[in-house]
Amino acid sequence: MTSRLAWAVLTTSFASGTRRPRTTATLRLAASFIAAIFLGLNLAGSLRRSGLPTNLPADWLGALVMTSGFVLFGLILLSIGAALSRTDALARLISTLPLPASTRRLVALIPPAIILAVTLAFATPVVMVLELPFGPAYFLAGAGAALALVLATGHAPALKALVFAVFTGTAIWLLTRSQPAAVYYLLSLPFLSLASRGHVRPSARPHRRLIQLPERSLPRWWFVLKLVRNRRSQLALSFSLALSVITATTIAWRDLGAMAGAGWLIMSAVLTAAVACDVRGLSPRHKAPEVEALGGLRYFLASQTRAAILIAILPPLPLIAVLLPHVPAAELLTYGLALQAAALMLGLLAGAIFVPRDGDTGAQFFAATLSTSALFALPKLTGFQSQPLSHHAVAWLAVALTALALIPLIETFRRHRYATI
Amino acid sequence: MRRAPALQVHDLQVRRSRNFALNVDSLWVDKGSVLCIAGANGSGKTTLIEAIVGLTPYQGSIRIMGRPIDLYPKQAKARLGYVPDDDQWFVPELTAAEYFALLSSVYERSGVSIRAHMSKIVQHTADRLKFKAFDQQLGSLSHGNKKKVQIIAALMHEPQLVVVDELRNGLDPLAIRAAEQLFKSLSARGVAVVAATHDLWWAERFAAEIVMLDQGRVILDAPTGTITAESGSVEAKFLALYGAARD
Repeated sequence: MTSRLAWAVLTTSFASGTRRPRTTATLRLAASFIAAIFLGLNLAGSLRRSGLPTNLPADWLGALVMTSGFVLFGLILLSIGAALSRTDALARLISTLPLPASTRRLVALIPPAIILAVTLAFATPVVMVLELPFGPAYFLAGAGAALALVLATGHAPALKALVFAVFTGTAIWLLTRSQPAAVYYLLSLPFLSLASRGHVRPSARPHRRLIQLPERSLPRWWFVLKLVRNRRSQLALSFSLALSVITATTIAWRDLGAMAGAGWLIMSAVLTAAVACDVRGLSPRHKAPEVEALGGLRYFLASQTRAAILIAILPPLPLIAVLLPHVPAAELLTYGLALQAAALMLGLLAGAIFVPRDGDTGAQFFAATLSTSALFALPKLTGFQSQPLSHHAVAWLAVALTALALIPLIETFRRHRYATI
Repeated sequence: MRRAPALQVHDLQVRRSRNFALNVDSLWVDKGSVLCIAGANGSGKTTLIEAIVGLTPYQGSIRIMGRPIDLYPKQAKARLGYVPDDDQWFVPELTAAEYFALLSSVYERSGVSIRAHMSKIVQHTADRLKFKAFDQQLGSLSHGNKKKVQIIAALMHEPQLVVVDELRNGLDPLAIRAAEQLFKSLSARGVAVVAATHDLWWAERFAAEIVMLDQGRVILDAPTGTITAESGSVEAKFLALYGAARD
């Protein structure tokens, strides 16, 4: 691999559509690493100072850590994997060049490897502080990330979501029974093999439409068709639902509902934000026909937001169902709705900023990171973290409204800047 | 008093980079006329088209049917049909039928036309272009069929100015002929057609007037008949002008 090719991969992955791709890619990655290390050390320090109890049952702590590992590692890699499309111009170009197969594979691995490194820079100090007494949890978190990457590429998203869910469920079940590490290694092999089938042998079946709408509903709901018929959003929705079901099942099974109460809903908010940041990228960054050929920017944003609400409604449902016995319904619904609204709007805002297109790995990563980290950072930065949960609903609604107001400003700014360098 | 032309461009400036800016002092397209914008690669054809259809910011004045598009974008766009040279210019997840229905509802809501009438135009235009893939998702259509969808979508609301970027790209010879006849018949009914192309042979056959651009400036604006009478062909004039410009 030549340095020119490596730079081409880096710039198309992390600084696509920018004025100075090399400088931008370098700056963005440097900022990501610095932020990841800073946040990781900061969180590790907070955890150390909080004095974690040492007498917690290993099985549920393990299940908790592993689910978090899947969500954090898996989610980021899922969104990256979804972007690693064969329709990517650079991938298509490279496939026509006389390069060895190993170089082609290396080219495909560079962006996720860098993102994995950024994620590890954040996670390593946190995991070290936790001092978990069992090794398999680490392995499973890594296997979950690898599995997520394989699952996210290729075809048949619904089948892959099912494979992911079954794998995760089985792994958690084994973990709670303190099986030796070899069992997990053996377990991962058939799942990885099964998951890779869709990647290596793409389905040759013709593209089928999932749902149709009556003609009179099209003006208001056409974006829903766009969402449910697009492979990227199908993948993202399938996996967010699978992850939500896994988390809800774990909470119900290990009876963890009382531990954090409505606080568990942050998990579904993370899923919502990560999926929502991908919605804007379904349309082109500039000169989007969805804007210009239809009813203009206001119509586009209204249609997009209306359709994206589905993303905010579906993921929390399993969690709300298992938390209802432990939390008053009014508190759960008020807090849950406000949090989901904020997650949705933060996701759409991050999407409006980066517009992560198919194959635009860097934008995908930065948008997912911005939207999800904002959910954790905002309560701390604005100081409402220390307030009672009932006050959080108002704060999250304010966050949602602020993001909602910022989105058209960003889109208008982009329209005015189009092709004027 | 002379009636407003279909398109009127005055002191237009679009800056795309430090090295390139489009500067058009004046461009006038009457109703029912067919004008081709020709020029070498990078001469500013698509930039001019994008400014006319409101896709790119500009300085100066562009009027469609007498209305400035920056002041009356909705009214101007209601009178404008645009066929881009971009095969992603639609919502790729929708079927052709759904896309036309969606456009109809948008136009109907804007008071441009009524849906039943637009359905008839869609069917009529599709018949002429031999387009049948109404139930197929737009993203999965062939290159030529995507172009046909763009032509149908551009004409369904009966615009008074149609702007076409590289009409022939992607179309087979039969479809090109059908599209040409379609645009000629529209022109006969008073619709102005502005087409950007680098195919000078086609421009000579198709257009009544040719505008040539070089490095963002108009270097020729003349009737096709005058050009061919003076130079033998539009291509010969183009080569002579570009040769002179380079020298």
